[in-house]
Amino acid sequence: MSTVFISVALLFYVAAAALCVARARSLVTRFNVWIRWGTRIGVVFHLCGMSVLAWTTGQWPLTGLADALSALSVLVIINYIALAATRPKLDALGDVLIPLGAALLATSRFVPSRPVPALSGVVDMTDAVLFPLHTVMTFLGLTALFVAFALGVAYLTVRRRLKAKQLEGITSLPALEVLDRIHFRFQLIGFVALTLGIVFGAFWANMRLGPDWVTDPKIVSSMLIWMWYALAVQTRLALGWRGRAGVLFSVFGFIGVVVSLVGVTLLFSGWHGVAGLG
Amino acid sequence: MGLFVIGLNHETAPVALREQFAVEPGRLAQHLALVRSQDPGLEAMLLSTCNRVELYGVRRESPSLERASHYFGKLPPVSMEHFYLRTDADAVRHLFRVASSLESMIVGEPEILGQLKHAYSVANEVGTTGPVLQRVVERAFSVAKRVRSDTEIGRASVSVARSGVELAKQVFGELAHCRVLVLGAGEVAAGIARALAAEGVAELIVSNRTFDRGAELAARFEGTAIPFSAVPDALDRADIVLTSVGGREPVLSTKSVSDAMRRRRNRPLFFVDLGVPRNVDVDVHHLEGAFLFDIDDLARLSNKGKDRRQTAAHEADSIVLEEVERFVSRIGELDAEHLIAAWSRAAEGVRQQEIDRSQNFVSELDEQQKEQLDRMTKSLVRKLLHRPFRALRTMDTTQGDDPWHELRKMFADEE
Repeated sequence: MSTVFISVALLFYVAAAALCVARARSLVTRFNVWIRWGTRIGVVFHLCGMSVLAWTTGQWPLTGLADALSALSVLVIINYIALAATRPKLDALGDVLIPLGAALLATSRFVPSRPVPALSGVVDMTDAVLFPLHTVMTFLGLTALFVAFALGVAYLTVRRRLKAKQLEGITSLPALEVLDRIHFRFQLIGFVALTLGIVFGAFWANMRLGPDWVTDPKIVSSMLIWMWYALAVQTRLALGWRGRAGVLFSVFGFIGVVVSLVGVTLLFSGWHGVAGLG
Repeated sequence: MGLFVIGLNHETAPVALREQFAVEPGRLAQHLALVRSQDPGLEAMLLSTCNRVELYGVRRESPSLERASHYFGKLPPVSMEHFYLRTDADAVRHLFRVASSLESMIVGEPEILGQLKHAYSVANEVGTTGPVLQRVVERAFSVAKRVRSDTEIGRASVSVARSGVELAKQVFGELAHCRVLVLGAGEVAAGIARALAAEGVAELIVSNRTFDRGAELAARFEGTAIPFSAVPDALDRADIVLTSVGGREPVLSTKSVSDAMRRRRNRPLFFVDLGVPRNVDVDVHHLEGAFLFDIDDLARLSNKGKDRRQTAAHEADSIVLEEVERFVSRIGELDAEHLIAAWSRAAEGVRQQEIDRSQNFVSELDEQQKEQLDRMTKSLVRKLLHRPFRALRTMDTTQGDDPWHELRKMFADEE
């Protein structure tokens, strides 16, 4: 049942993403309403699917890679809907966020859907507060960093058009400073949430898993990502690296996050890895 | 009539080329004197604005494009296709359209009329205007006033100011926290400053080489005036910079802006450069956080509402055509009267000469006979000239050829 719900959600996301591409190419806005409603309906199906899955398996819905990608997908799409509702010009973020959400959900259909083997029997929905806090904060952080990436791409697009003086239709895009401001807000939220996620995870792991968890490949890659974003926040606050310099941190950081989230999880075993699962 | 105009404008030449030909307001007189030294009989007026550099001239025979281009002095290597030459009725129409702001890049902008008046006053001071140029330019002023009052052309320029605001919003979003620095006190800059002030900007700072003019503009928008020497410091706190200053060298160099950007910790700085030659070094646009736009960019962006402007421009053009027709036929009449007066003077001169030559005979006449002789000779001259004068007055000068040319030659010495 959950598969049906999630497949329908994916269809809506893919259709909305296709409309975004069409909109970006022809610079028309008449698809805006379709895109907005398509994603909203998709989110409803998606949340239904996730709820049914958690209910039927009795598992915390963030214990496997498929679950994680699916959760990130819905969070990314919800962020797009919220941002576009707050500021109509931010609707343009859909050009990045909707295909990203669709890609995350599509990928979740092709990766192992079972929980991470090492966590089997260790985590269930009745687990202590720390594990849910670890996963929720981490996923909120990753979502915020994904949105920061989309805002960064939008910033670079508007900046490029202003620098190249391609002014036709530019006023329908968000303002550069608005993008920079919101981008930094999401970058900061992402960094803080990721920090909390790591801290809660460390406490939980220390209590339940003993000292072995420190060398886990995912934790190493996560720490590198955390340092990268710490650098981004620090250079902004201390040195005034804003605008392009600030958003480039998010663009390259996104690549790191994807590599860590999908690549490291698939290729390595460990507390986060699913290597060897079919 | 012999009126011609040679020049280049925003449609025929890019700003980088226009600025090579631009003449600062303070050097117009000097340049006109040079033109006059090349062609002593020429009536001339030089108009140099952000969008055009044009020489209006009157000479017996209209020059070729090649010949007329030499009035601009030693030319940089440039193709003649950037220049245009219009003569007689076409030149009148061109001047009327320029004065009415129909030839402006920003159709309807008000500054051109002031610039034209300045160009005319300089030409008058230097003494390079003559009867034809005076009549046509003064008529152009009246036509411009009529166009402005009878059409909505003036509203068109609002859209460019609007474009400046839209572009600033594209960088900053809301402008309530922005500080605006205006360099110069030109009308277009003032128009954009007005539109920005209406957006409720945090502060408006004006700086002009003549402090009092800057203070005047600042007072209009409840802004503050600062001396020109304080501009580099003002760059630190400004977000939007509008420049409209005369001068061959940029007022803001890449280095000064780069230094300011460092002090600003890369907060964006948005420039609208309305000067020709340009006031801000073009490389400023390549600095991180700096965005430089010129008037061409604003005009491109202001394509919205084009239909309404086109309607106004169409109405204005009809007025211009009507006025050109009226003027050309009138200048024919004025030319005819001018010629008749010259011819009459010449004939009277001949009559007097002949009477003087017959002094031996005349001296023997009594007063009554002298009066009779005077009346008779005058009547003779009048009757001899009656037909040609009537022909001159009834001639249709709008039909192509210039019949006055041959007649003028007959009285060249007297003129």
